[in-house]
Amino acid sequence: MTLLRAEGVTLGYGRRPVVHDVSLDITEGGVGLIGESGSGKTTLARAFLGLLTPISGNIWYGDQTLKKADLRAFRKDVQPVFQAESLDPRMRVGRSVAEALPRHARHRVAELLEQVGLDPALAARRPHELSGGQRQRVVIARALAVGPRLLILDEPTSALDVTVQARILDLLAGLDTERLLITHNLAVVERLCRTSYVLFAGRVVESGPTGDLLAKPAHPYTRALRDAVPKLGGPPPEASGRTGRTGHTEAVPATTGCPYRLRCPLAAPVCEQPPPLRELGGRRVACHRAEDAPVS
Amino acid sequence: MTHDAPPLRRSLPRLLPDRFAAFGAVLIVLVVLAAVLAPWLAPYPLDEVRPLERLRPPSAEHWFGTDQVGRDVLTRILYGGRTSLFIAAAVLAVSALAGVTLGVVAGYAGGRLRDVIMRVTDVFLAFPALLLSLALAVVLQPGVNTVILAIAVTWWPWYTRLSASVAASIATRPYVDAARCLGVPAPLIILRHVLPNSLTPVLVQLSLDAGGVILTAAALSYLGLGAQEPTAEWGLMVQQGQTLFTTNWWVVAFPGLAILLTAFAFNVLGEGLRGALDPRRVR
Repeated sequence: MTLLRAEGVTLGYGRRPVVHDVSLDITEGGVGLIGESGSGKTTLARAFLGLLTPISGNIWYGDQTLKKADLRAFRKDVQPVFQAESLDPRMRVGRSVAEALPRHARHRVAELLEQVGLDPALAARRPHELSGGQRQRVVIARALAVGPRLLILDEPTSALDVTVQARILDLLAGLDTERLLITHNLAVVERLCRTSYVLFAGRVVESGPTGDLLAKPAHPYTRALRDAVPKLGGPPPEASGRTGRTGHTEAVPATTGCPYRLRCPLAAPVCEQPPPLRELGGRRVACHRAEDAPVS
Repeated sequence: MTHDAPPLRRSLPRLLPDRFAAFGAVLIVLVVLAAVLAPWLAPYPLDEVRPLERLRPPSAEHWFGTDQVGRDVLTRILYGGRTSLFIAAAVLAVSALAGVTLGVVAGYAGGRLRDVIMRVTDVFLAFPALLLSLALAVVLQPGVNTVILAIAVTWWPWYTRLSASVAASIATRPYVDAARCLGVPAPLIILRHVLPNSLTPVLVQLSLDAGGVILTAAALSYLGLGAQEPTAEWGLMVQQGQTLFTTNWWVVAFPGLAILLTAFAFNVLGEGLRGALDPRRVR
C-alpha cells in the first residue's frame, strides 16, 4: 500500500509556482527523486512533510488528504532526514535526538545512537564537535526516535566525503522503513530506490524502475544526467547538453512548451508544444521525441 | 599583535577581540564597581550638606569640588552611577523582554500575526521617542520609575523589529523544520530553537543601547522630569549646576564627564561585539 501520494500537486512560494502538476506515489522499495538544483525536489519534499501546502492538487496520506489527516499520526509515520547541518548548533546532540521522545523514554537516546552506529557518549557533544558523518548519523537517529514508517531523505549524503557516504548509505539501506530519496547523485538512487522520478524545472519528465531508467533513459535530460556521471578509467564525461543545438548548456528552462528544449540535442519545432507525460515501454516520459532517442 | 601573545590574552574570549572593545569593557566594569561600592568608596556621606563649604573647587579634600549646597561632587557621582545604571538596566530589561518576546513570535509565526505585531510596533516607532517620553513623564509623577517607564515605552519596538527579522531567518533553518516534523509545538520550538539562536544580535544591540538609555535618562532628568532631589543622578546634577558652569565648572563638568564616559564605553563595547559576532568573521 502506498503510504504517501502526490496527486497533481502544484507548489510555490507566494504566487510563483516552482513545482507543476506533479503526481508521485511513494511505493515500496524506495523512491528516488532526481534532478538538478532548482528543479523543485526540496519543495516537493517539504510538501510531503506537510511543511508546505499545495497551491492545487493533494497530498494523500493513506485515504485522507494531508489537510484533513490526523497530523499527530502523520508526524509519527513520516520523518525527514535533512543534511547533517539540520541540527541546532546550540543544542547537545543527545537533546536533539530526545526532542521527540516523551520524558519517560529519554533513556532510549543511547539505544538510538547505537542503532545508527554512534558511541552513546557522543550525546553530550554539540554538533560542531562531531564529524560530518557523525552529524548525519545523529540526524538519522533523531528521525528514527518516533518510529517512522517512511523517511524523506533530502540529499542525506551530499555534503559528505565519498567513503563516509558509503557507510551512511549502508546504514540507510539497512533501515526497516520506506523511503523517498531526493538527490542529484544517481549512484545513490540506484542503490536505494526501486523506482525513480526525474524532475526538471518542477515537472516530472520521466519515471519508472530505476534500473531501466538509468540503463535506457527515454528522456534526453535523464540521458544527460546519466552521461554526466564520471566513470573510473573511462573517458571524461560529456557535459550535459554539450551536444545541444543551441549550445546553451546552462540555459534556463523554457517557460513555454517543453522546458528542456533550449538545452536538448533533439529539440524540434514540435517541442514548442508542452509534451504530455505518456506511457512508453513500462515507464512514463514527457518528451515528444522519446522514440527518436539514440539507443544507448 | 605578536605571535607569543601572553596567556591572558589568549584566554580572553572572542568577546574582546580588539583593544577598543576591551577598553570599553574594562571601563564599564569600573563604572559598575564604583556604583556598587559607592557606600564604601565615597569619601563623604551621600546627603551631607555643608553650607559653609559651598562651591569649593577641586582640592585634596574634595577631589571633584563641592556643589551649591556644599555636597561632595565625587560622592554624588558615585551614588549617581547607581541611579543611572539602574535606569539603564531596567529600561533595557523591560524593552528586551517585551520586544524580543513579541519579535520572535512575529518572526516565527509570520503571516497575519506578524503583520499585526509589526504594525503596532510601527505605530510606536512613528512617535518621536524623546517627545513621547516627555509626554509620559509629564503626565506621570516625575521620578526614577517614571523615567524607566517612559523610556521603555519608546525603546521596545526596536527590539521587536530586530528580533523579528532574525527569528524569521532562523525559522527557515532545517533544524526548525525538523522540530516541526517531530511534532514539537510552536511555543516550544520558539523557546528551544528560535529564541536561543536569535539572541546574539540582541546582545549586541543591548550593549549599543545602554549608552543611549543613559543619555536619554540624563536628558529627562535634566529637563526636570526624571529623578528628583535629593536623589543623586548624573543628568539631574548637570541640570542643577548649569547656571554655575561659567563660574564653578566642576559642578557640571564631572557629572557630564561621567555620562559621556559611560555612554562611550557601552558604545565601544557594542561595536566590538558587533564586529566579533559578525557571521562573516565567525570561523
